Amino acid sequence: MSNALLISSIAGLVILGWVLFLYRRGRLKEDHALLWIAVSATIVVLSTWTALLVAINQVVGAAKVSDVVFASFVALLIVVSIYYSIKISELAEQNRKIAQEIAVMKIVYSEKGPPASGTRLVSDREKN
Amino acid sequence: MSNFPKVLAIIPAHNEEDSIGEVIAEVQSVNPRIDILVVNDASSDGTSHAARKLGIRVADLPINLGIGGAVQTGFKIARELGYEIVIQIDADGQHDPRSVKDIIEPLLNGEADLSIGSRHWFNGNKDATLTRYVGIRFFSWLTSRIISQRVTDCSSGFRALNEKAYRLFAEDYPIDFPDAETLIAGHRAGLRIHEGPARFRARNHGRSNLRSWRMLYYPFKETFSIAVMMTKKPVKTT
Repeated sequence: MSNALLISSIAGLVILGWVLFLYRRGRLKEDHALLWIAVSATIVVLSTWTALLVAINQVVGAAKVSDVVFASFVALLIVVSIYYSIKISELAEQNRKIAQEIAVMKIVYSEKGPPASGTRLVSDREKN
Repeated sequence: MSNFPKVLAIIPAHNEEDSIGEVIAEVQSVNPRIDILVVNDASSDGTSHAARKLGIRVADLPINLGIGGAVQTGFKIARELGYEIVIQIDADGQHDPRSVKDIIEPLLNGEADLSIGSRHWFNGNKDATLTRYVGIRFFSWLTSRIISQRVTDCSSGFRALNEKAYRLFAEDYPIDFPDAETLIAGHRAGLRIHEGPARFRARNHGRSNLRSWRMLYYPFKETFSIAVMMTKKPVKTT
């Protein structure tokens, strides 16, 4: 095993351990922990399973087999970034709806009196 | 005029403490039958207090949502309170309330669902920078091509909408730069759009939200949004 592969396998294990630590402390949700576990496990597998790495390299034709590991890591990070962009977009949308609902409910409350328990705004789309 | 419909003037405001009182007073003097709603977009100054002091309804947003989010909040409130027509007026005093009558007229006559007051019919856009002027012309041209109808001022937020139109936008409304996109979305949803002259004035207080880097970002974001919207199925009005 080359030094590059040794370093990447250690890095993968460190990330794996760190993610498990964060999850045990309750600082990562299951979905996010599993995502990072998948990323770090992939790095560890690619770094230690030489036959697989060589087989992949025969297809992609990288200058060094260790380049395949780093390129895979970059690709996985891009996927993770897109996943988080989707999550942030969803949260921003939910945030907007909550803020609007608070403002609307306050006005409706002051005009029409207190809403019944569990009342929420129902959009035209939901009604149809 | 006893059958004048239930009309709500929505005034989205972010840090407009200095001008909001004047705008409210002008709208009230133009037509006292029009109800007013100020949507305070998480201002850090006394905008909310200044409006409440005048006995006006104020919807306080707990976080800043931007112009689109504030206006959409107004549409949602109008829907809950059963208004027939809403009119959008800027809080910075640029929209002269004397034009309200002209803007809502096509709606009252049943000729349009969405009516825009254009600054270009009277006095052009005197205080616009060159980049903004070019941007307005470009998006007005693009909007005109897409909706097959001449639009001279797609960036105008001086608009009136009937129930069919504002209910559509209460569901979906662009957050940052709602200008051209709403016209195209409205047209695709089958809304009848009318543009007529309106009086605009120089801003007395505050600053435009289209400045510095946003001015450069705006054309890309708007063009991208329009291009993607054109690939989607049009939303149907209820």
